[in-house]
Amino acid sequence: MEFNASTTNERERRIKSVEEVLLRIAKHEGVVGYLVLNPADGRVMRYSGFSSDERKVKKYADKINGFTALAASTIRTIDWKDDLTFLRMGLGLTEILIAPDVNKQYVLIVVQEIRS
Amino acid sequence: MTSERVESVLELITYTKGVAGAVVCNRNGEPIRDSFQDLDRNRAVAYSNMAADLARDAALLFSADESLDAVRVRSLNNEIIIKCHEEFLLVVIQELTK
Repeated sequence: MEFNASTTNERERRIKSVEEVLLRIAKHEGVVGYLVLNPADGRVMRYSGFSSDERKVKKYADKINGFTALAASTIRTIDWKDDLTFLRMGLGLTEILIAPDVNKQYVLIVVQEIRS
Repeated sequence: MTSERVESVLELITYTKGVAGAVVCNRNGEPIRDSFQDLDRNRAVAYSNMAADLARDAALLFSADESLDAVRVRSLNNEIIIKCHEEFLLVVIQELTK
């Protein structure tokens, strides 16, 4: 692979724009936190918020990875050409938004609280 | 009359623009009442099973104080909205416009 300055700049610019998007999500009103999962093994690649409680983050990661896999499986059971693109769960005062990547390299999960 | 009210709400949901159909099923995935415009019973059974699987899995995963109220599952072609009740599930299937 040719490694030149423009490739490096392009990559840095993309990383920066991802950082900006994630920061905007984290700052949104009512957002408890977000995490980015590797769906293959359920590993947390990155997270923010949740009062830096790693046990809580791990709890969400484990539960949601399995549930997301089940949802994708049920969709393909009904129509094998179809695929999961977004998932939203209401649990009492909490709402969990789950966005799988098209290439299955990561899953972005945002947890927010619903204000009464 | 309660059953009349249920029927009118189901009809209202079914004939909303973009809605392909609605199913009321129990927690075991057995459809009780469905109203697909294309009258496809197989679809009602398939979506009931899907809803029951998701509701069951969520109940196992999350604790009692975080019980599942609703799920929205969006795919390439549809958005499926599942509203959970103690005994019953309401499943609404919306087609996504491209």
